[in-house]
Amino acid sequence: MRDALLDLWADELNEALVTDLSPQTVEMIAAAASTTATSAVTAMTTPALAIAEGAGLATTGIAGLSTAAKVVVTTLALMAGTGVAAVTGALPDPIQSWIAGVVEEIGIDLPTPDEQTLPGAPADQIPLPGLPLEGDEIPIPDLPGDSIPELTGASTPGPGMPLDPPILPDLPADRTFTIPTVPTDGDADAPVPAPTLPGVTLPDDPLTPPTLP
Amino acid sequence: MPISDHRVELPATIEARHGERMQTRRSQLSPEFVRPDLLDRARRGDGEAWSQIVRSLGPKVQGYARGKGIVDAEDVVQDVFTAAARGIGGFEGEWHAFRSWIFSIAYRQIVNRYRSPSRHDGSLPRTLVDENHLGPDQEVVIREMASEAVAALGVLSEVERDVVLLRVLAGLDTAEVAKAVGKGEGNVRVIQSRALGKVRAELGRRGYMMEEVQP
Repeated sequence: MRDALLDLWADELNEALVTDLSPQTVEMIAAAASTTATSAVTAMTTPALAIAEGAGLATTGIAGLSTAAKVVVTTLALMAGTGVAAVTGALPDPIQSWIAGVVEEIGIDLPTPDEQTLPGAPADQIPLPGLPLEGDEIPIPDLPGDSIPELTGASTPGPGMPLDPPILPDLPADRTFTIPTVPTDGDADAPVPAPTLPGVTLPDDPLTPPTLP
Repeated sequence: MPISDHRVELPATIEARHGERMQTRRSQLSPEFVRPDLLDRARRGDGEAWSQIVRSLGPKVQGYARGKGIVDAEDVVQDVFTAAARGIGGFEGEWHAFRSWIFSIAYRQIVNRYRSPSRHDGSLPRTLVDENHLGPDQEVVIREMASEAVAALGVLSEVERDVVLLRVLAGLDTAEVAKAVGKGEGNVRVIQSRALGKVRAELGRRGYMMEEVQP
């Protein structure tokens, strides 16, 4: 339902607030907008325009070209794209090799497939000292008494929640661990003796693995 | 002096002139007055196309800024159309959508100005009337009426004023206003209803043209 009072008020509000811009103001704002729009269009299309102008497209458009000219323009565009891919080494290996060989004749060095490595990556695997090489067998010593008991049917644990406490294996008597004595305040600088395991010899060189029984 | 005292003395020439001007403004914004290639030409940076756009929408944008109490309303117009020119390459749509887009830009520009205290004084604008060809008495009458209409905006909150001005001045529909101010359509309807209720109460309190609308 229309409200006559509000309609009158709206008309008066328009009358009070909306006034025509002066012709000078309109022209000034329009000129600024026109320049901005032109700059925006130019910024978006400059690379394409540069190629098109070189091919005479700026005034005629691609539709106005002959078939031969279209082929030339398309080839140029493809070559431009291929060139970028070749510089970055992104082409398939045979094509990359061929292009690298061709441009090497004129002194341009492009990456070949066999030298495409990530910067800083080693050319081959370098084993760290002391680590076994690939293919080496690593013996696992048998430890007496270390067996994992099987669960009995009596305990039926739920998913991830054992009902009974786990059964730990008994350690053999000769594998006891001696806790070293902690030095008192009076000889705090005294060296802490290393723990000893029966049958285990710790070498002086920390890099040499200990001898197991 | 109450506005009703002047109303009976309002010359018929002013009434007629007011009607003509409103008709001219409506026609300037009507899609049938816009050439189909106007926006395409504007995208290409055609100066004449931009002149037509600024002439059509600039006064409304300026009025919206004035209604929001912006001191440099003309600068808002400049900034709005410069921003529009920068983004028109990505704009898709016809004149109606373009008009709505322009006012959404204006809304953001004005919100940004409100963050800068020096760019607005927070008060309602002075009464602004076209004073050409009016005698001193007629000018007073027009000023009085306009100041009453503008003063009624003072009862509205900022968001209510946005919604009312975009509806009344810019002529946007509810969906367009909702898009411009970043709110839901239902929310805008509630705000508009509440705002117009406040305006009506304020106009009644001021005795604004009451004898004109009595049955």
